[in-house]
Amino acid sequence: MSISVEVKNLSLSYDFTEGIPANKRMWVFKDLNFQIKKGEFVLLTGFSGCGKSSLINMMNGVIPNLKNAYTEGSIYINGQKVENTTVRERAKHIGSVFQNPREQIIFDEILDEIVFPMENLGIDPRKMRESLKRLLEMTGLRADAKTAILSGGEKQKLMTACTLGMGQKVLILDEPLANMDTRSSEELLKLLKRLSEEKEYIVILAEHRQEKVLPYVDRVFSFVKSTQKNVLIDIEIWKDTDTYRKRNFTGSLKNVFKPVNHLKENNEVLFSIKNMDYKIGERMLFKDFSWEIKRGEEWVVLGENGCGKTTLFKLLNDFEKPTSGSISSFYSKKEKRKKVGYVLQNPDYQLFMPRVKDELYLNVKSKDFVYELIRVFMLEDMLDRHPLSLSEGQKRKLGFACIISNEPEVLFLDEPTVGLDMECIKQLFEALSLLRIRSRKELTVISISHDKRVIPYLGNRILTLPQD
Amino acid sequence: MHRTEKNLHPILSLVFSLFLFVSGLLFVKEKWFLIYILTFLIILLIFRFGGTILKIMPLILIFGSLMALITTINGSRWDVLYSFYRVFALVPAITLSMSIKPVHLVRSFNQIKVPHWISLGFLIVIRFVRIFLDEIRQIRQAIILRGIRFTETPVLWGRAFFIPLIIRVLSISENLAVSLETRAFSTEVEGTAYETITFEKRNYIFAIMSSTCLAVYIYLFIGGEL
Repeated sequence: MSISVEVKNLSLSYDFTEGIPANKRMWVFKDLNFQIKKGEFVLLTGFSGCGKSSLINMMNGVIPNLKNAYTEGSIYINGQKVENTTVRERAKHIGSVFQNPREQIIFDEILDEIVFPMENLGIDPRKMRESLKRLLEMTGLRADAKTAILSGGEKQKLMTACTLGMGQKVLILDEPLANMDTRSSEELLKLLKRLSEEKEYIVILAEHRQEKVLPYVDRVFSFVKSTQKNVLIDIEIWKDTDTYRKRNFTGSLKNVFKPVNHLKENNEVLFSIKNMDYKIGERMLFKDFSWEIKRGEEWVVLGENGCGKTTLFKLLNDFEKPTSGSISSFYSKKEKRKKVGYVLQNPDYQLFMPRVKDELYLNVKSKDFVYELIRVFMLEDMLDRHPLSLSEGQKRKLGFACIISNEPEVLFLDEPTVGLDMECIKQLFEALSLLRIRSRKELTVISISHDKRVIPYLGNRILTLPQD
Repeated sequence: MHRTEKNLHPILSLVFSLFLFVSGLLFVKEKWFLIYILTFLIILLIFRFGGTILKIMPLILIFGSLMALITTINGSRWDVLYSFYRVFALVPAITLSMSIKPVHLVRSFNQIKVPHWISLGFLIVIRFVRIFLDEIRQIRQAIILRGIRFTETPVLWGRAFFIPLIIRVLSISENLAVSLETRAFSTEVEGTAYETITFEKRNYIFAIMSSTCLAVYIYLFIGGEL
């Protein structure tokens, strides 16, 4: 087997202090060395904000071409040094799937989005049509469907299909399973495994949900805290994934409390949906749909990508109107804003204050509860930082803390654990338990999640939405 | 592969929407202005743009009336009318530009060897406007969810609106650029096209009809008589 991706003495730093000598600079990682051979499937894993995306961006050239950073060392693709080449030159060899698929979609229709990179690479139209057919079958997407009405998971599938269509032999995927349903995740992993085994593709996949990916991978690159001075991260390379699983598997939520059913017979109905139809364009998402949510119930809404889970949350929060039927609420519109909390998938929308502590103390009911949340989420050292300077995982925790610090009676959680490592997930559940206690067992929680590990801890009632 | 579309060739639509935009504003004060507008509305109806015209008309009427209302403050009766006409004059141009599918425009630009940086610019601008509007909607929803009301705390509302908007816009611009680069959008290499955008017969008919009418109105505008 010949070497296909080789990294020599690769170093990365975001420390832009002028004139600083290399030995005093703060490095994310320093002098990384590894080789990935043709046909290998590699998992990059580690805690939130550990630098997985940075390494990916260095390999595909986004760093330093499009994102500023101080770098050293060399990257070779098929023996050719690439660190001085542009992103689009590297794109001929490396296919990249990023996080935030919504921000990468350019066209109105799925067909155009998938064929666009193939056109750029000069692929013959006949081959394009064959690839398009195969990719549509794999993703279950419709060629003429509008990209604007796709769910988060469907958008992720679309961006993955775009990359697979380009046919590069090195594929780098940054948390592609984050919003994908179980079936789609398994299909994608099987496809990637097949490509690596049968067609000698190199697959490099960054993912938090290790237990899902481990059965498919050949090696694990585990990002751990460095013991070196001025270096944040080291990478441990595990050839034997079984040993890695036994020694390092942190996928346990053993000590986390599961929700207990405290429901009384006479608890009032907080939300009631009766015979609702809801249509987006030509697509009927809900047909004659009815549902009741009583005080104290803890629901988890499940379903495949695009079945309308987030839309259902929007309907219950008055951001969308049903096409027909009715939605009634125990709360008036004004009360809803005070008593109903909604944690969005993307925390960037809900953070705007100059410091983390300003964000946490905005509209709070009890300062004691905020102190507890700061402790649980380990935010003590960040209180004076700007919220948007935090890592994605920290922002997600802060966004969650801000919403629950208002002690809502009803809490909507849209994929609360996406992009979080197990330690952060445990913190999130500890905070949720505190809120349950403060609400005197009357907290109502409605969650959406594709992550099977966390479903029993989010709720004890399941609503499964059918696919249209 | 050829698509059968009711839309006109994207470059033809773009060129005529620019012509109609300029001529509409120039002809506002002419006594035959309404006949000019009517002529192009009829042409657009013949070419099956009725649905688009109906879609934009309420917005044009509201915006036109608003402009006219503002002009009433210190303008004459004619100024008020011309203010309304200036907005109304945009109907044919907007109708044509709305019919352009970005991907078709890029493909037809590529077919006539227009440099990629121009089509790239068009593509990003068109996409960015749509994303920007969607972001505004999402930020407004997030503000409501954090219980902030403009009437109670306008400064905080402003902060909650503009800070995430700026951050999101920067993030989206960066991600769009990354998305294009990693999908091999190149300014140097010539790509292939999934479909050929052809200049069909109806495009010739539209071009001849519209050019003739436009020529007549330009002739009248520069002082000619029929």
